[in-house]
Amino acid sequence: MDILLEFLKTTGFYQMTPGNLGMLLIGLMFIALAILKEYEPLLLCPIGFGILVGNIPCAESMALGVYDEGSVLHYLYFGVSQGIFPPLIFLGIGAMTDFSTMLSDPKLVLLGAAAQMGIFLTLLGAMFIGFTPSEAGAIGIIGGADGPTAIFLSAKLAPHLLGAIAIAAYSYMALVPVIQPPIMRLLTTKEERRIRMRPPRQATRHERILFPIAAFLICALIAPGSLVLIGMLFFGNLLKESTVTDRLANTARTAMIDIVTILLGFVVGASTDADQFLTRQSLLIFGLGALSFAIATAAGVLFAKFMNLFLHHKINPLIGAAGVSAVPDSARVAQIVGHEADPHNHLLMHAMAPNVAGVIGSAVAAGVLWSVLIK
Amino acid sequence: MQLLAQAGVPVEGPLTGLRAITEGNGIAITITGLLIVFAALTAISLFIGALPKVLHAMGPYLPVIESHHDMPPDNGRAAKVSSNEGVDPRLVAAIGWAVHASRQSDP
Repeated sequence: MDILLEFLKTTGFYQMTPGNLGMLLIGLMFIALAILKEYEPLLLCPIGFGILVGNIPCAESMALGVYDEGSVLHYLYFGVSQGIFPPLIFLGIGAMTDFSTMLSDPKLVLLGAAAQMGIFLTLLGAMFIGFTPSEAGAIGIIGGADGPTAIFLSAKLAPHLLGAIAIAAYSYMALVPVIQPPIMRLLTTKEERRIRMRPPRQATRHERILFPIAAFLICALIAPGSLVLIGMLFFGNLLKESTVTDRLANTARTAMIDIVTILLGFVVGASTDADQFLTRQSLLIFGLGALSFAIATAAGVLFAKFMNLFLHHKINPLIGAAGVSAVPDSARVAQIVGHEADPHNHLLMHAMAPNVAGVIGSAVAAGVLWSVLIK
Repeated sequence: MQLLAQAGVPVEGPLTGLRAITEGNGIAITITGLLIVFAALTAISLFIGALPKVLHAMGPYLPVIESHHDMPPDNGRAAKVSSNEGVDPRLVAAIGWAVHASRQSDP
């Protein structure tokens, strides 16, 4: 009988705290959003289930959780805490990204830079409310709308905030179709939303092969801190564009990125133990993340309008919002909002240019913040 | 920290407000960061803009890049299916949009 009573005390039911219960509900909500609403299902499903796993309370003597040294989850989490998984995901992203639209209209690259204002202005906001510069840098990168970049930088600058930052980054990426449209409509007139852009030209094979090599050299020489992320991104793209390494490119963009995404999402979710996650800091991070996203979207749209002051062939300012990365969701949002104003206007191809430029921009921004803020 | 405070020892909390930004070099980090991001992407933009002209000038000296992707397919139908040459990008965008809209409406 004693053994049975002792065992009952080790069950999750007995040890459940309100915090654990709250996190379990959040995990279930993530899974529901992924399955029912198809909001970033490839990410929210593993993260949601990871949250369930990470919030089942168990006896302290049993090393089971992410933070228990020697546990399986602890070893899997090593890929996150040491920043190993994000570059591998970037390799896969590079192998599946088509930079042709960017190559056909190089001025659109600047929209990817403008949208990074969200990162740096949020950094100021985070410092203002009491976060240290390193923490503020890690929080600001949420505005880059790039989950792997956010995880990579927070692992380097503020590992204690990694769980909250990762969850915030992926949540807002999933909510791109909800967050961006009101800001885009607020900052543009109907006439601006109806601007039709010239069809992009076809990039040649030489251009597509030379681009990843040259862009890597430019970015890595200007901001060496971005070396790992940018290097893997462009290496993956070279594998794709060279066409002589199809096997490698196929593996990078299918099996490898899928495996890493599963592991990354799952252990990030499992790292959200209620004791570590349900803090005032996490709430502030979520608030700042939303602010960062909103600023990034607004900056992209406003910069497109600013560029239009000097351009003969106008840019539809809606595609500026795609500069926040979140590939390809923010480009889709530009297409949807543009389509509402003019059903015959198709912005998707044009929006992909600032979208992929945003990936480069956020990786460079992460490199800069890492270089400047690392102690 | 609470114990120190209870004992009457003055304890400094985290810096907040403009003082935190000033002492943490927030403005300098922001300006530097934005400048570097813009410099990197402007350099990429300029490179992309110059690339077609450079390639055109170097045309005679450039190697012809061939791979199995460039080999002519065995039958004409396959060529039409596999090649994007001559396909109106607006048509591709429209098809992409239709697929997306269909997926969005799918419950």
